[in-house]
Amino acid sequence: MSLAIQNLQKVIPIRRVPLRKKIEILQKILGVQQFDLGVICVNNRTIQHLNSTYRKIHVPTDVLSFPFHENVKAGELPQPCFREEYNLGDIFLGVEYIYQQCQENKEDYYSILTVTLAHGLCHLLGYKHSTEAEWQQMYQKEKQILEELNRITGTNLQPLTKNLF
Amino acid sequence: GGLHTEGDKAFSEFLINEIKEEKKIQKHKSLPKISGGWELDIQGTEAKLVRKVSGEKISVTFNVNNSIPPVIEEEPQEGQKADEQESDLTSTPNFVVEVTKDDSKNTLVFDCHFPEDETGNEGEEDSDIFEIQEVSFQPSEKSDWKETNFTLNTDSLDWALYDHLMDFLADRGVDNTFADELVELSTALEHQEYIKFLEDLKGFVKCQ
Repeated sequence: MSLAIQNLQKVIPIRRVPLRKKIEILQKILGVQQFDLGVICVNNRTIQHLNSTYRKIHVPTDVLSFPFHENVKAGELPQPCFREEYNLGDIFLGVEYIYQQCQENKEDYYSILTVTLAHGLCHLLGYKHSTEAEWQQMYQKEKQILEELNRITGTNLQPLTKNLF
Repeated sequence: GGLHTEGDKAFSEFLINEIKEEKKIQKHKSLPKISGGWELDIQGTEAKLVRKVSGEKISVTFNVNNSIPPVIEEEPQEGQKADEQESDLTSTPNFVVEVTKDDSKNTLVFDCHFPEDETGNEGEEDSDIFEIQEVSFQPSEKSDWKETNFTLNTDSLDWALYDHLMDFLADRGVDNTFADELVELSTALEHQEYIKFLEDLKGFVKCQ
């Protein structure tokens, strides 16, 4: 229902309106427009702090997802009982990390931001990539979402999990 | 002429020391600059930043009075003396952004603020660096400003509209970088004014 974007950093300029448009398309493709969602843009220091706190990994990363519904199975949607449960959770975007990666790999920043968002949303919906089987499932889902997004927007985006295994 | 009590003498001596200490921890001896081609004008505690771009005039005004939020008391960190903590006080004033287009009699006015960090936890910020609180149109002539013009309050505003307003400001140079630099400037100005006040107080209280 409501998509709240917050920009907690000043390292990378963020255009909120185009970011919102992309996320809303992704939500529609996934069939989760009725759920609240938070997307928070943070710098390396903050994402590293979160990575360290919640995953005991002491380096910055591109995205961290904090699902509201922790027991959703990949391929299913949350089944809310009350209005307050129409919430997917929060996606923390390490925009500084993503930007640095794009500079190193000579990739388009906004494209990678979009595929990272798709990846983050999949995590909120129970998809994981700890095993090869989980990765396969997540990769297929991301591919499906991005194919639809590519069709709507005329882009050629590939899943973030493409070369993960 | 005037009263000269023992209390005044002690007060005066206290102020001499206080001024010395404050100057020691003064972070900026001169006011820090704001990037982006802003002209700065200061009248006492009020600062005004003005920028002109492509037929628009953008001004940002703030007052350093009452601009330091209460600090959550913490134990001094290892290796840090208790009085060194005072240099961490920052001034986060409310600020007003006015955007006037050359061919318009109206100015778009944004009342902005720095949300207070309620948790006091560093590294776990949970709000935007700055927020727009209210938006309204006012006549470009300040003397004609009215209370009866419609004021858009962002408390229950559609998020998409809010994002448009933030991007609008960012396009005019009022973004997170600007907000951070404004805090630096405001903190330096507030400290400067505080020291000036202490010096005036010392002069006023001083025993002849």
